[in-house]
Amino acid sequence: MSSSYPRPTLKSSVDLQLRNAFHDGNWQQAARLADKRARTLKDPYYQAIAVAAESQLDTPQEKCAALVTIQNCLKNGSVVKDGEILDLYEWASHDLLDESQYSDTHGQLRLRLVKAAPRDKPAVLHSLRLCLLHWDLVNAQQIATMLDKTFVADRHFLFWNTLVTFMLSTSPQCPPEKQKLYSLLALKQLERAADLTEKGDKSGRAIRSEEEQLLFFRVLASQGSKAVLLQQLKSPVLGGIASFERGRKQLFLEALDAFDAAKDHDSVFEMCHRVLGDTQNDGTLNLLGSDWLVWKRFIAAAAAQTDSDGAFAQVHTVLESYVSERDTLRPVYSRIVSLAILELTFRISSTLDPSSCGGESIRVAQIHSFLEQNYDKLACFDDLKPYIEQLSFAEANHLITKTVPALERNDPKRSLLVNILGLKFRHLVSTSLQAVSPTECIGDDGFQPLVACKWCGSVVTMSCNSCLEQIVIEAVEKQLQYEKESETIANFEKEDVDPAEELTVVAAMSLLKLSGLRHREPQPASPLLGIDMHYFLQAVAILDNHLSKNPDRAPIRILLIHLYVLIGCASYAYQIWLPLDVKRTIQDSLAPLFFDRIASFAPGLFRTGPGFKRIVEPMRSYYRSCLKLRAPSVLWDALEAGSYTSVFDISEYMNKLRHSCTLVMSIIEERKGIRALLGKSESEIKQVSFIASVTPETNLAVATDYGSMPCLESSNTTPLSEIVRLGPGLSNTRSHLEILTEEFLDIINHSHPKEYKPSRALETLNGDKLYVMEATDRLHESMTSFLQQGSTPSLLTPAEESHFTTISLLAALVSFAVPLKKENHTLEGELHMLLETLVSTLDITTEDFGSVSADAPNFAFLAFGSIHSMSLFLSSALAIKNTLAFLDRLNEKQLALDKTGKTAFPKTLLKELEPLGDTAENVLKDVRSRIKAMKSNLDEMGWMDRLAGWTFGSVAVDLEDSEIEALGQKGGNFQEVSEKVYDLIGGMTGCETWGVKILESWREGIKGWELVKTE
Amino acid sequence: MANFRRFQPNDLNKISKCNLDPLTETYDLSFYLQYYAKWPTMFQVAEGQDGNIIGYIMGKVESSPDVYQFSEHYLPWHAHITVLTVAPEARRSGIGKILTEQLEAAADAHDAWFIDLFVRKSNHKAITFYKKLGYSVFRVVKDYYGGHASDPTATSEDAYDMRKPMRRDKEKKHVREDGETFEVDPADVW
Repeated sequence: MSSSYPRPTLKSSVDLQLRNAFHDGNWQQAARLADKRARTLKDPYYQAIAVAAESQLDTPQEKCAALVTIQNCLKNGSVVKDGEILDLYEWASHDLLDESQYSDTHGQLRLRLVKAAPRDKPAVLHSLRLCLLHWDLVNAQQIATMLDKTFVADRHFLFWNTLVTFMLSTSPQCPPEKQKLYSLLALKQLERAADLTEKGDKSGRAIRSEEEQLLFFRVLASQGSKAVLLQQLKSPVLGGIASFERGRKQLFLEALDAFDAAKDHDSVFEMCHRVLGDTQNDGTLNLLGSDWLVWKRFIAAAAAQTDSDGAFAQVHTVLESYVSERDTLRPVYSRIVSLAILELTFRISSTLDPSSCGGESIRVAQIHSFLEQNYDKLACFDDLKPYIEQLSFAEANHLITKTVPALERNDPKRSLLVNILGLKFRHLVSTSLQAVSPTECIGDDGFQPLVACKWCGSVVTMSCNSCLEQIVIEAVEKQLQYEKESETIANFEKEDVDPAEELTVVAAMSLLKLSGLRHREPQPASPLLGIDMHYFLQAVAILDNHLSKNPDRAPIRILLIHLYVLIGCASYAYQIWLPLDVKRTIQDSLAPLFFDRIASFAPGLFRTGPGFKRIVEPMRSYYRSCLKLRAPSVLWDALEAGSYTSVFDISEYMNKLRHSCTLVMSIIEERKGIRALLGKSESEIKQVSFIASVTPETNLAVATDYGSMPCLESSNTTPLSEIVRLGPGLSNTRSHLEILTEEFLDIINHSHPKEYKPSRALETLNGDKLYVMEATDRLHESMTSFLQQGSTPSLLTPAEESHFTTISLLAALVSFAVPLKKENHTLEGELHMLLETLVSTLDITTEDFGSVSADAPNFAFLAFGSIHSMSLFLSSALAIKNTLAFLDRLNEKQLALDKTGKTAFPKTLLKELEPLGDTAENVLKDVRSRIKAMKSNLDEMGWMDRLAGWTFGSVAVDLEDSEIEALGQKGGNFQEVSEKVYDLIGGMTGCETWGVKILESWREGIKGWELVKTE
Repeated sequence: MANFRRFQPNDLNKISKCNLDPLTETYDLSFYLQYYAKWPTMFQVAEGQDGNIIGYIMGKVESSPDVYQFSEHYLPWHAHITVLTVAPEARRSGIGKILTEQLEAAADAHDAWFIDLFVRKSNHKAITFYKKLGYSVFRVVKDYYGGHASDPTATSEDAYDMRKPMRRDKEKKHVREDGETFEVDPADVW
């Protein structure tokens, strides 16, 4: 009882004996002693101690003692004037009341106390604090208003009052009819304060601090008119520039956002001009506002001016003042200046026809100039990427073939860095639309139009393989050469750039492109279907080789985790994941990189018992500790410190965290993993506190951070993070479908305890049936509405779409079947249609599943690569089987209680369900056979040669012509690429070291699958 | 490319470039939010492309509790650098210096006497960095850190308590020249 809520400290006037009993949790004694003191001293505080202590005892009546007392107080309208009595009641009833009930219970009593003693400042503040921390904005607002009215001299309370009033107006706790009133109230109060400031009034109720100013503009932006907001942001007293002049940057940035959103280019231009041209007292540049974003907006706004030439000239003048001081600037500001020059050049020349200047344009010349200054910076490629993408092919060609090589000097370090950049540029251009031109031809399959590569003239469907192969060859050659040059290596030891890593990434990215791994519409049943296995595995091998030598680099680690998950090496991916040390705060954004869909590809990781850890426990404990209270205690700290925007931002962040897709994922994946192994869930999904309040209308927030994933691709192609994932990332839609599925499974798998024997059994059964009918109908409706949204197929894997469709149809089946009675019902077409849809949904999945043949030469690669689909296929079949068993149990109960048989299911229904049961049984049989085939395949001999052959073909092992043909005949530069990569990873020795990791992980994975319930 | 601005809680979902680096510690959420709640102007970030955070500094202003007022180790109103980190890809570009200077400006705005920080005695790179910015060693805190960054056989490591006087300390009362020789125990450090 009350374990999660801090126990109040008793007043110092309480005697030692009672204090000790209370402190030690000796509740019987504490209750008895307190009761005795209450009678003797007539002090209600002792009575409250007695009630609180009694609430810790065992019987339901005792447990409810505090709750009953509170309810009586509320009913009688009585006022508890001692805040410490309320503390005791809150503690004693905390576990019996939901947080959402605080407002109607404790919050009400707190407000009554404040109204009764408004001048008792500590008690008022304490009450306000508690209401806020329990997110009871209704009572908090009234208390804050009283605080402001009572202590007018304390100017802070004015802002507390307006802040809380405003938060209430935007909260669902506020009655809709009062939202406008409260928001206007907050706005008017702040406008009055702003007015005083504008008039130079130094009285307490004027806006003074930066936070008060920011609060005013937040409320104005949310509730006021746009015109008034923009006008105020220009105010010479409170506006963005005025704030900047006082050394405060935040409001300036917010003002810039507001003018930019309003497309008020004149104001943006003016503000940026003022800030970027600002100087300090000594005449040197004031760099406070010299951010890249400000420069970019300055130049964009110049382009939007009527007299753009004149505006550009002004930009140029400001830029010149920076260029003249470049030597004294920090490198990052110097780079920003270089980039601003580049941006200006591209803006000005965008009005010209780039093709008219040929390859040697002013744009390329400016890139050259940027490269001269920044070629050795790790971020150089990222800085230039958006500009290179704007170049015409002729310009890009000139840059790559002439400009970049010309940067090389008789300095191995510089040459190597320049070479790396050249390779990255080639990869970027080769994978973008710049490098291809449409041809008249149409591909053999009649669907994919062909294009011609502008580099080499090859006719291709997408990127040019020949060019990508050339990039791999050169990147690997450079790496091999670099590894031999100890002097060059020594040159880089103190640098942040690791050439080996850069070259590995370029080669791996090109290999992945060559493998054909890409975003496909519609998505294939498995991301690996139809891709080139050799190149894919070479990419994995090359990255793994680098990681084994350089374990500290996160980007390669993250990329490898995804690739190993794709090929079903879950346990090895987990080993790679652990050193990233994703813990505490960053779990919400990073845990999905490994844990998303984990139950579907690695159920074995959910083994429990000695020697096994609950792998999602760090996530669960993080959420438990962060979300213990409805609002974090730092919210009060922020209010006390006058950090008003922090109050907004923290509450918004915590709300998102409470409704985080990662949080849902951690709960769902564990349930699915445990259910796969044990055949049942530990509890019902709606009993999980974080999920209980989630309704289909709740917006579940995605926070996944792919920022550390390497990115060399053109912005017009799908980002790498989306290509290497097992399927689309976390989403509100998928999270809801998962929760709804769990709810359905809870219904059909529910069984009453054996000792449950209701006295009116038939009535109870009918009540249960009504509940099931309504609940499954609701689930079907909700799932259908998610599944029918146009974007849904792009948010799910095909296997998930099929599985959720199956569950939705099963929910419909149950809601349809449960009310059917033998005597008065003939089956309707709707049921036939429903069953047919269910069977055909499963048939499509069966077809996909069957596309991986056990006779395929690379069966293990394909089978492990489609393990996610197999898992969902299995889940669908089990759900069907359990649904039918549920209906059967229900019918048997009905027959047992109503011997007339009139209320039992029609026989026709039972007959109709038979084929569905047969189909599900066949699926289960197929899955069992697949697992068996995978195991026996792994038990075969010669795996190292096989993996080497799959990766490097005849470069690594002797292959018969028929084997080469079976694995896919390779042309082009395959042989040369494979030789280089094979050489880089250390030939057969390196290949075997790597192959063992894959094989062991597959074997570990299959051990887990053997434990999965398929009955 | 960098933009410098105040931290906002959503940045916590974009800090992987900094926090996946083994040299950067990840704390509990309440730790970050506490700094943002109490000292929002002293929690600054450098934002790179796509909103990724490529560096951040967390600081605070405080003084020792009144109970220590007569102790020789009492710290008057001062600023403290708690965390300064820059992502590997953004190092050597002056971002750390800019963030530190921004914190110093905030410290001046809070009328702090000085700004201080703790650093491992073996972290020469960081010590040089701070010395270049005008910080000096004020005292050595013996065995302040558990474990040693570069010596696996050692069970602890000393810390340098480094300081830079702020505008308020015109007479440089709160710095000393021979700080390396002035040793204190961890218990003396509040």
